[in-house]
Amino acid sequence: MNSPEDQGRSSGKSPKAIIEAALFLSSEPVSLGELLDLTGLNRSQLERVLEDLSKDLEANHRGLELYKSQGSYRLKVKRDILDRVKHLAPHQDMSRGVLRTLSVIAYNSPVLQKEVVDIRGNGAYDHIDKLRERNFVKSEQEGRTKLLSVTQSFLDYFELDSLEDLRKKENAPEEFSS
Amino acid sequence: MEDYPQNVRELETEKNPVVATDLLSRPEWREVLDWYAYSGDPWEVSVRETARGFQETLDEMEGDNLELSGRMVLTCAVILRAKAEGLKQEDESEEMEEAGEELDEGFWGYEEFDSENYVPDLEVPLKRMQERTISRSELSQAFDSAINVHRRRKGRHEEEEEPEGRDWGMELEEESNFRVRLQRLYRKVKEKLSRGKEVLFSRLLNENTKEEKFEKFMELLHLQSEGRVKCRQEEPFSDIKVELAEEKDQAPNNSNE
Repeated sequence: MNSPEDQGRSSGKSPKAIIEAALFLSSEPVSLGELLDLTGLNRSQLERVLEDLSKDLEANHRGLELYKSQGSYRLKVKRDILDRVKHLAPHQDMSRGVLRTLSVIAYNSPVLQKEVVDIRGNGAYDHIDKLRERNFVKSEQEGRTKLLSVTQSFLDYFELDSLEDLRKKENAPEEFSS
Repeated sequence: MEDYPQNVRELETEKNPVVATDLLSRPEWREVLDWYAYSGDPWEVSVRETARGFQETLDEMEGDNLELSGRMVLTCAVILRAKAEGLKQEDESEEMEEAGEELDEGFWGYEEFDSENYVPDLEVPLKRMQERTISRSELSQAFDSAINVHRRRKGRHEEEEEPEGRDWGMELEEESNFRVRLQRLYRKVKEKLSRGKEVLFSRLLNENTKEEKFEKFMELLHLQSEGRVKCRQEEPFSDIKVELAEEKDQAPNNSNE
């Protein structure tokens, strides 16, 4: 049986190359379904190619890495290189307001929605919705408000094992001392 | 330069990729210009080559003919304008796209085309949307910014707040003080009425400040809502007349008065 790469080569297109190009071009994470359509592979073949691509990118001389979240894939600049090159792409994939709200939640997770709104203003409701959509924040009902906490996707995105590193911040505000 | 037309008539019969500098130095130079502007095909003329020829002539002349320079600038401007007019007639969206492409690519060499039907087969390179992930340091900076903004906002609110100590009658938690003041006002009204005086709102004031008016008005409203006084205003903005309410109108919780 041919490998997925061989199968691709026989039709003149390497599935790995197609996936790499698709992930490079797309500004949004590309779903597994889209990749299946693009490559014409079946699911197990596609997963093998993705794994292969991920291993290729792990090499030291590669600046990108494959990032999977919620069943979708994207290419990311490796964390240890990002600070060096980030000025070349000044636009972050999250607005400034949403990022600030996320930071307030992250540094104090779990935190009451009411407290976040007190800090960030009423716009925080909209930010929290967006963060929920990105699966960075989850909420539980807590009386008349909600208890917000960050998700595993958030930890994956910032390549954190836990929130402890973030909490080591010296200037944590007294607003959250409780 | 000897291949270039030597007079205006020759312009009509020959391809003229360059406006000969020599033609512009003659008295009939305006005819030449008119021909290029209205009769000839501006796309056949290379402004770049024309300018180069002009530069060579200038070098030979050691730049002592400013009049000729002016004519050449005008001629080149007219030809460029004619080219631009030609472009303008094309579909507007196409024009915009092409202009964008030309600007992006720094491509202005259309005079190099072999044929007027030549359509360049350009492929626009696909570019990635330049959005990137956020670093941890940026998350940390965002947190600092969020807290700074919050503190500034809080500071502003504190500055805007009224100085402490004044009880407007809105804070029902501070009811004990307010109750004392209500009592005092009620007694004052009752006393004045018992002496047969008419009690007007303006006569209940001591300092006559806006704050005092507001406080007293709140107190009167409370007394009225408790059914202890009646306030009447004959017409808008006129003084308010205060009377004691009838026994039956009084709220039952005032029996301790």
